Amino acid sequence: MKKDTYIDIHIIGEADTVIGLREVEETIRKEFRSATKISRSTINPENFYDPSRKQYHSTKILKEMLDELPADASKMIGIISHDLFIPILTFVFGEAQLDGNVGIVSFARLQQEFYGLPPNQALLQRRLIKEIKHELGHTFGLIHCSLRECVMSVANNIADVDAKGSTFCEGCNELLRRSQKGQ
Amino acid sequence: METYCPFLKDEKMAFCKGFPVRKMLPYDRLYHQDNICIKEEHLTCPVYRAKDAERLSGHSSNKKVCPYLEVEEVLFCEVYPVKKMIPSSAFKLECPCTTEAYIDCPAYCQIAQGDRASGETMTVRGFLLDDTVYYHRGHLWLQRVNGKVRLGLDDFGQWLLGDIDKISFPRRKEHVERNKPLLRIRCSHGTAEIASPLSGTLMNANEEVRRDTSLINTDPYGAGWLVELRLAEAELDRLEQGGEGFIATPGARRWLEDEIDRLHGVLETEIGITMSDGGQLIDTLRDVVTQSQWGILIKTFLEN
Repeated sequence: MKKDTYIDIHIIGEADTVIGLREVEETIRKEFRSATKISRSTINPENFYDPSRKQYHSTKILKEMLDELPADASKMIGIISHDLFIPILTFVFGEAQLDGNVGIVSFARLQQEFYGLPPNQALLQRRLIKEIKHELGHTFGLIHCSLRECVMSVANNIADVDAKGSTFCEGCNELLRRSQKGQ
Repeated sequence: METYCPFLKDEKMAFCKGFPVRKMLPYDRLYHQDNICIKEEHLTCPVYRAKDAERLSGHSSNKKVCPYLEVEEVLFCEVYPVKKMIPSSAFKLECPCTTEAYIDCPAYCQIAQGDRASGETMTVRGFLLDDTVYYHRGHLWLQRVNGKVRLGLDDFGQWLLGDIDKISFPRRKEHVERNKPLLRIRCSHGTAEIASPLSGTLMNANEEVRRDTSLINTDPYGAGWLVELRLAEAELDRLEQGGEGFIATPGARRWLEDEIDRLHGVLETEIGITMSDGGQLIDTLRDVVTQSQWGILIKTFLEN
């Protein structure tokens, strides 16, 4: 990865009032060997609300994020509290450009409250970190991994998020490093 | 990429090579149980004494550890109900535990993906997958039934098509050629021409399906079957030996997962290919794709 670039942690809405950004930054620095910066988005999620789905269109928000990507940032990961969807899926925890620049993670369905359970901040944080790694992995060209212990394995529901590992498997880690060298 | 099954464990085991039956004991447990094999008391062990008496030189061991104690590294499946030990030195052959095929192992599936015994229908990201049938890359399933081969659309295939208005089959006893038209399926977004994966004679078409096309959507592996073909021996071999275009049953789960991921690439967005995590594919694709997108999907997945 080129020097002096960084991964931009892009806060959309009031996300930072719920999650711990310091841990997010530390994880990204360690796993992606990259500097980080936190920025606040001007995107208004309400512009991407779909009343028929009662959800927010993830791909359209990603498109807006591309306009906000700073010239010196290598990647941007958006964090949002709104429930996201793409047309062919019932919902998404996150979405990212494959081998591109932007990804987004919603923590709407990562919260215990969504499932009628008491809040659990530590669990939310663990789930969020997994999903951030997963989506940033896509931006580095990683596809879904068949190993359940790998953070790049696919999660159809919250149980899958909890069941999957929080780190990259050896193979995905190797691909990640190769991708970073090429940038 | 790491391809070993996560439930494959290795452990150092100890056994007595003087005893006629090889009884394995975890190496660590020898110490915890203060076993005589690792103490001078092994000199009193009847097995040692019998073996010692057989020795031509006739002199006893002066070691603290019994010379007949052997240690070997073994591999075993942690979740299989019976612990079958295999010496690691003998574990060089490819087997499901050491290849990606482990994801189809019934023991792995039961623990990692919920209850599923071999020979049952399972779900892959919301799609049914029957592991008693053969699959073809055009999202057809095939199964030998009474000397014929029955064929239908798999769950993913019927989902791509959506509501079916009409289905047309060749005439009975008509010969069909591999890769030549077999089925014509008219849907609200257009018509799909499905080629035959094998050459043969059409013996039966499902008349129930012709009358009620919704059976294809509601019971794709059962009442929604489409045609039965009689195949020549060479074509049967092609089916059963995994000829070009056929997916071996142990790899079907992975193939279907890849196909679902491939959807994202085919339905490229205005910001290029994106990938996502979460959710199931929606029930009706028709409502979220244009007619031309539907055409591309059918060409890519069903007519290839």
